[in-house]
Amino acid sequence: MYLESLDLTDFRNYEALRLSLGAGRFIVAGDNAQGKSNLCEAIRMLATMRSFRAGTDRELVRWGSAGHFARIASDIARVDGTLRLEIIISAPPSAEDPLASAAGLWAGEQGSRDEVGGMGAGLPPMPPAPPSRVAAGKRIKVNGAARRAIDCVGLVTVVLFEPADLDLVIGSPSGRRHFMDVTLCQISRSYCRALSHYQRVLTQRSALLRRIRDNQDDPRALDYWDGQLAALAVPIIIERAGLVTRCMPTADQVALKLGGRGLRLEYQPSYAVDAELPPATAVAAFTEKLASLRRREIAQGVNLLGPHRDDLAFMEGPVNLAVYGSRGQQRGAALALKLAELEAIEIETGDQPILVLDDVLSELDPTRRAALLESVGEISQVILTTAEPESIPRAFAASARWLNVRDGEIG
Amino acid sequence: MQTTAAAVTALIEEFAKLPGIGPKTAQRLTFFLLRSPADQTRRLADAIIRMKEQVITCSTCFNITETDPCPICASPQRDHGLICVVEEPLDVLAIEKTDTFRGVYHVLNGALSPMEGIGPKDLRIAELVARVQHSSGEVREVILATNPNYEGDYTAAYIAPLLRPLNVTLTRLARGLPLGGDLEYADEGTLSRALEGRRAFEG
Ligand SMILES: Nc1ncnc2c1ncn2[C@@H]1O[C@H](COP(=O)(O)OP(=O)(O)OP(=O)(O)O)[C@@H](O)[C@H]1O
Ligand SMILES: [Mg+2]
Ligand SMILES: [Zn+2]
Repeated sequence: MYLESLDLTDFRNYEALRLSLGAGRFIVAGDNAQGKSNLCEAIRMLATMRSFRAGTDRELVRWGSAGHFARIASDIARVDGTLRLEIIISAPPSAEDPLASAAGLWAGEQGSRDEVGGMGAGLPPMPPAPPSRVAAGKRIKVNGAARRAIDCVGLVTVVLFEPADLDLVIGSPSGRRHFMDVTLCQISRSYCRALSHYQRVLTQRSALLRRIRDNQDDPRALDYWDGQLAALAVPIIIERAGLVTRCMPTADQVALKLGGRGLRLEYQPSYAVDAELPPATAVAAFTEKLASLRRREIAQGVNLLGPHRDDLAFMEGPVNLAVYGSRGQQRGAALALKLAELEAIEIETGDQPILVLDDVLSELDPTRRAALLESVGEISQVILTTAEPESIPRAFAASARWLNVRDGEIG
Repeated sequence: MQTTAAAVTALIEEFAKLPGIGPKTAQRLTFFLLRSPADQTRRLADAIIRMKEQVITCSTCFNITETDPCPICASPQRDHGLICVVEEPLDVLAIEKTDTFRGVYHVLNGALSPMEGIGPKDLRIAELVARVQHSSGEVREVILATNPNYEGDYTAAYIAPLLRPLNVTLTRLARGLPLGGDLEYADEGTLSRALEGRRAFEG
C-alpha cells in the first residue's frame, strides 16, 4: 500500500502541508529541527492512531495555531481500493501556553470523547474529566464517516524504523513488548481490542491488590479480575508467540546476510501457554497459576503474571546478544527484526506496509546500510528522511524522489 | 488585562464544568442568557436552586425524588417482587422511558472501581441485600442492570453471591448493548430488547 497524498494542518511545525506522494521511494532531506521526524510521526499515526513520541495529544497541535486543533488527512491506496483517512486532534490551550490568544481561548470544543487513545484502545469511557481541565479529543473519519479510533488501527500499516529502534536489543523489555504490540495491533483488530481491555483490567486489578493489602477490600473480590485477566492474557500470549515464530526465518536470513551466524528470536512469556490446549483449558490453567500467586501479589500490590511482564530475547546460537553481543551485532539484530516485521505484516494482511526510515541510515555502517536498502527494493512505498544526503547510496538516491523540508514546508 | 465582565467570565466557567459542555457551548449559553429577559433567567436560577433544595433520595430505592418513598416505590401498580439494580438515577430515567418495565429499582450510586477508590462500602450494596432479606420472600427476581463495562460487570459479579443465598432469581441484561457503553446513552429500542432478553446470571 502507499499514501497518495498527505495533508497536515497545524500538526507540529506544519501549518498547511499539501503533499502529493504515490508509489515509490521518497527521500525527505533537511537540516536538524526542520520537521523530518514530525512528518514520520504523522504517517505513523495514520496506522496506530497515536503518536509514538508525544506524551499528550496537545503536543501535536502547532504552537499558537488559531484553531487549537491539528489535522492529518491522507488518501491511501490499498490492494483492495483507496480510502481517505482523517485524524483531527483537538487540544484546548493550556493556561501556560503563552501564545493562547483571547480569541482562541474558547475554540476547540470537546468532540466525541476519545474512547480509545490509540493502543489504549477500546477502553470503557473514563469518568468525565475534572472541571479544571477540558479534555482533549481525537476524532477519526474514514471516507468522511466518523469512526472509533480502535476500528481504524491498521487500516494503514506502517513499519517505522528510527534511531531509537537500534537500541531495541539492549533497551528495556517494555520496548520489546511495545514492538510486538504495535506490530500485532496493525495486523489484528481483536489483538488491539484485547490489549486495550487488558490494560484496563491490569489497572483495576493492581488498585484492588493494594486495597486488599490495606484491608479495604476482600481478597475474594480478585476472583472476578483473575478470570478477566486470564481470558485476555491467553490470546495475547498466543498471538505474540505466533508473531515471533513468523518473524524468525526473515530475521535469521537478514542476520546471516549481515555476516553473523544467524539469529534466533526467543519469546519469553511470563507465563507460557500451551497452544495445543483448548482455549478454555488454557484460561483455567492461567487462573490457577494466578491463585497460587495471590498472596505474593497482595503483599506486593502488583500484577505479577501476564503479558505485561513478557520479554523477547535475541540469540546467536547459545549466546544472548543483549548480554554478550557487540554493539554492531545488537544493531544488526534490531535491523533484522524490523525487516522481519515488514514481512510478517505483509503475510498476515496481504498488503505491503509503508516503510518509514527516519534518519537511520547515518547510524548504520555501510554493510548494514546496503543490506537495509537492498531488502527494501520491493516495498511499494519507502519514505526515508536524512540530514546527510551524502550518506545515501547512489543507486537508491537516483531511484527516489527528493523532497526538501525546511521549517515546516516541503518543496 | 480584563476585557470581559468578570460576571460573564464566571458564568462561562461554571457552565464549562458541566458534563458534555465545552468552552464554546458555555460561551454560547452565557451570551444567550445575557440577551434573554430577566424573568426567564430568574426562572432558570430558581429551578436550579429548587432542584437542589427539594430533591432527596428515596430511602427504599435511593433514586432521586421529592417524596419519600418515591412515586415508584409507593405505587401499588408496580411489581415489588422485581428489582432492577442500576448504577445511577439517570439509568432509571432511561429504563422508564422504554415503558416496558413494571418492577421497581435500586440505585447503587455508581459502580465498584478500585482505581477510583470506590469499594463496596461506597455503594448501596448492603442496603440492597437488606432490602431483599427483609422483603420476606416478596422479591422474586433481581436484574443486575449495571453498565456493560468492566466496572459494571464487576459490580454485578460482586453482588450476585451476596443475593444468591436469599433465593432470588438473578438476571443480567442481554447483550446487544455495546460493550464499554453506558446505559444512559443506549437508545430506547436497544434498551427494551435488552430488558426483555435478560438472562440468568452465573457470575
Ligand atoms: N506543537 C509544535 N508546534 C510547533 N513546532 C513544534 C511543535 N512540536 C515540535 N515542534 C518543532 O518542530 C521542529 C522540527 O522537529 P522534528 O523532530 O521534526 O525535526 P527533525 O527534522 O526530525 O530534526 P532532526 O534532524 O534533529 O531529527 C522542532 O524544532 C520542534 O521544536
Ligand atoms: Mg528527527
Ligand atoms: Zn424509591
